[in-house]
Amino acid sequence: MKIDFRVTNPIATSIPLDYKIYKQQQEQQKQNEQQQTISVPVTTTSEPIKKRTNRSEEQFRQIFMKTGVVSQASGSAYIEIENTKVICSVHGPRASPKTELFESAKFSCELKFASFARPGERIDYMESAKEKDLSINLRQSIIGAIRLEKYPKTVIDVYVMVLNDDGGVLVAAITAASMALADAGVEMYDMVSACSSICIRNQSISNGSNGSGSGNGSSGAAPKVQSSILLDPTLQEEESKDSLGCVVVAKMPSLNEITQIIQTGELSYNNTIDGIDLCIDGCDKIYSIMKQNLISSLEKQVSKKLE
Amino acid sequence: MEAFQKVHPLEFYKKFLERSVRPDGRGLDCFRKINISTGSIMTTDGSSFVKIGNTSVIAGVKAEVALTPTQSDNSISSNNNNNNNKMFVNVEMGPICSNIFSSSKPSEKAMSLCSQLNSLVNRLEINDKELYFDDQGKYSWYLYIDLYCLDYNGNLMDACVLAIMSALKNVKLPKGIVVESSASEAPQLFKDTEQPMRSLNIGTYLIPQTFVLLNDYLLTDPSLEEEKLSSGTISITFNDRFEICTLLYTGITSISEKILEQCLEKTKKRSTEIINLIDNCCTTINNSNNNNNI
Amino acid sequence: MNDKRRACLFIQPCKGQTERDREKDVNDRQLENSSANAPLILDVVAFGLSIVGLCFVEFSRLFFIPTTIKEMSSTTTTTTTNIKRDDTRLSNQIRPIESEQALLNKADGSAKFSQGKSSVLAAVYGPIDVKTARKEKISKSVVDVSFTPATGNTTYFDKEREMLVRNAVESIILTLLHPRTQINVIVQVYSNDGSIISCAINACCLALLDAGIELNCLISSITLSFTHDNQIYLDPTQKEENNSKGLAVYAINSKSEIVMTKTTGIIGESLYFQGLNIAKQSCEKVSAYTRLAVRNRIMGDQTQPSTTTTNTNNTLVEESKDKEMKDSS
Repeated sequence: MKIDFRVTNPIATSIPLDYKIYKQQQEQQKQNEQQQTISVPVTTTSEPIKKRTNRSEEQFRQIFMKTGVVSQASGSAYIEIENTKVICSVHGPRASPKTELFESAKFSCELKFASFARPGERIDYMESAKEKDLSINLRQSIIGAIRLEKYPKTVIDVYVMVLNDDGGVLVAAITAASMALADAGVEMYDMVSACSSICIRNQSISNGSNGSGSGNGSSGAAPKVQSSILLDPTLQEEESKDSLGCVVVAKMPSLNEITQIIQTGELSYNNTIDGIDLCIDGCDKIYSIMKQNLISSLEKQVSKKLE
Repeated sequence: MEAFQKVHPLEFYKKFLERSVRPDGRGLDCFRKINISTGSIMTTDGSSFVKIGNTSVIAGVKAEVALTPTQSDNSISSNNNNNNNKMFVNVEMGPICSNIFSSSKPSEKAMSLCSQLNSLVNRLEINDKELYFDDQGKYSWYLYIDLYCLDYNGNLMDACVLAIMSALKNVKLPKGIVVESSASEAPQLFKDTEQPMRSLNIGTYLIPQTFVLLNDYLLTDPSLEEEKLSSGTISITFNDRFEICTLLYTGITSISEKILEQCLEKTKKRSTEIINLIDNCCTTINNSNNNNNI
Repeated sequence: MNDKRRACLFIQPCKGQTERDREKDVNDRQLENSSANAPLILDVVAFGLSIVGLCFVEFSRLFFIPTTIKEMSSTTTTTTTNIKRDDTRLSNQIRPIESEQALLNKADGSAKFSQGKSSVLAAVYGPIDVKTARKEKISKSVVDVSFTPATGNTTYFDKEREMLVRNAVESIILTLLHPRTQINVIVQVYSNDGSIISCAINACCLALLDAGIELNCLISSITLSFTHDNQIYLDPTQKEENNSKGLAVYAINSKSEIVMTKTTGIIGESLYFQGLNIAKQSCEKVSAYTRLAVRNRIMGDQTQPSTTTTNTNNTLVEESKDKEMKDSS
């Protein structure tokens, strides 16, 4: 039995569903009864994705970054990709609690979601499999960039907190972590920037196959599905049933080296290559924003000291 | 000078306090600047972000529905409330806010703070009717208030109380619809997103204030360093009728009655300012852009 | 047993207490419960003390509080102006206090303290080495309190209690005398019927005395509950706590200074300070009880070699009882 020290409600509660969707479903059911097909369970994400109106398919959302937000950490960064909000703090290089000797620094990453970070049900305080997965991915993307051999017998800890998830959490986390590491003054070969893209089935086809569509790509029995690639997807786009797969690329732009490519879902070869190309391009753009931000924050620090 | 501060922090502070000023330039009675913004987290039913100096706390409220328990149900806790809690506060002080915390299990500090805030949230005088899901009150909303400390630089109690207050003021509840299906099945609950949302009526304000005793000096709104060096902490929360909701003194030295009275007086003086602060944050944010919350 | 104990001036560890002695205690206690008048109770107690060095004192207060529930009805007829509570106590009456020291063999000091149906066992281990190097303090010893509830897991409420007890206890221990060490205080609740924090602090004080840890003064604690019609109840039961408008816990040392105070619920400011005065008075009495308990324990040890001195022992108890009555008046 897990011991939970947190406040819990003895009464089981639930989040009410949207009445609008219920009404739609009721109508659909009536139609279905006439046609005698199985009803689709109601979920909030069952809506087909709307076409992007305020930005093009290869356009980023607005990004806001700031370093030095946590006074108690050696380095910290806050990043906002429209509604995705992530804060990151770096502790270290600090002495390790264990006295064992090792030649390079130990590097650990931990990513946590705030319990209210996602729409729908609250997220458990305990570390979930998803958080663990993201933590490992985050670590893998950044570890290559840090000069760990410069800090023997020390520990560098990166803690990331997702305050609001609206797609691209890993992207935001990687970017925030490398900004925070730079803010902490940890020696790195290069900063890592990340970008994600998504491949979605095209609207006209998806509408037709609405009844039978049951998730990623299973209806892609026809080998040539008309699809398009979107840069920087939102949560709605990520979790929509029209999405075929997702590509996340982490890259060290000035060295021109890729630290990690994560591809999920069923994508054709061409789609994957296109997605990666788009991401690499995006990484460079994010990198320039990161660089700009660090320089301006440094200028601020210097001018503060001069006062 | 920095070395002196590191090696003899208490002596360092004494030198300042003798001249009734603190190392960060504040007077003994001065508090840090408070910033409150609300509604920045879209996935919540109400959220707020509070910054006192460097200490920052983010609060998010999630509303869920359940059958209203009948009065005969066992009381949930011994915390002399009116039996049925409808609001649950959790405080997370993870490693993100300071390197003294680990991520494995909540620290003692977080847990005792959590316990205090849970009893405090029942002092807000929110009528049961405010939380009714349907009109008759057969179902009611349960509010889960989660507080995440993002930067810990002392005086978390005040920040948390303000965050709870402003987050609850920001809460918007949709109208509920209960659809009775068949007799055997439980009725289905829906929220009506087309109708306007309502906000909560909160009966009173909570006015928090924390002090520390350091070398027999009374310091208002302590920073983390001051808290670490202090010999005692006094936390006071008043409601707007100036009744004591929390009065907590803990420390390794004793405290005189006079100082307690002094603290209560000082907290009272600050009440209008805090009430204005909470009111303002709720009105201004409604028409401004919600981005850039830090 | 060890140096710490010998260094202590007024307490000796409970040696050689066998199973049979313990059985005797139990028998004695049963006897007390059945006995009707107070002097007899004290006689029996003194007798028991002389044999096993166990302290069990029935603490009479301003108002006489009987041990058995049966008797209570008879005494309450003497009540005057005060409002009667559910359990027929007066608003300024505390429940009967019982205590027992050195009931654990392995611990350096231990005590059981009960106020009515609330009963707490406290054990003290230390000063010992600090287990986690991070906690170690160079100039003083670390006081670590763990609070275990009677049933269920430790919740966040218990963690808060733990913090309150630790703060109260730390303030009376002369921590500077044992640098780079740790003093462990373990609080185990037997049964919780209100005022549990106060009960725990009182138990800790007795246990620390039993362990022979240097203290700068005694500490005693009392809980007050404030009802909706502005009555102040001393030492509330669980039911009274639940029905109250506000609760206040005070821990006051024997110099009559506030060491810890905590309120929950809504309490008017003037009412709080009114409560503080009441708390100060009653804490004095609890401290007086603690002194009496420790004194009786030593006497028990002194008289251990021969049982013929029971007579003198009796008078001593009577004297101490008189003194204590003076204290309370």
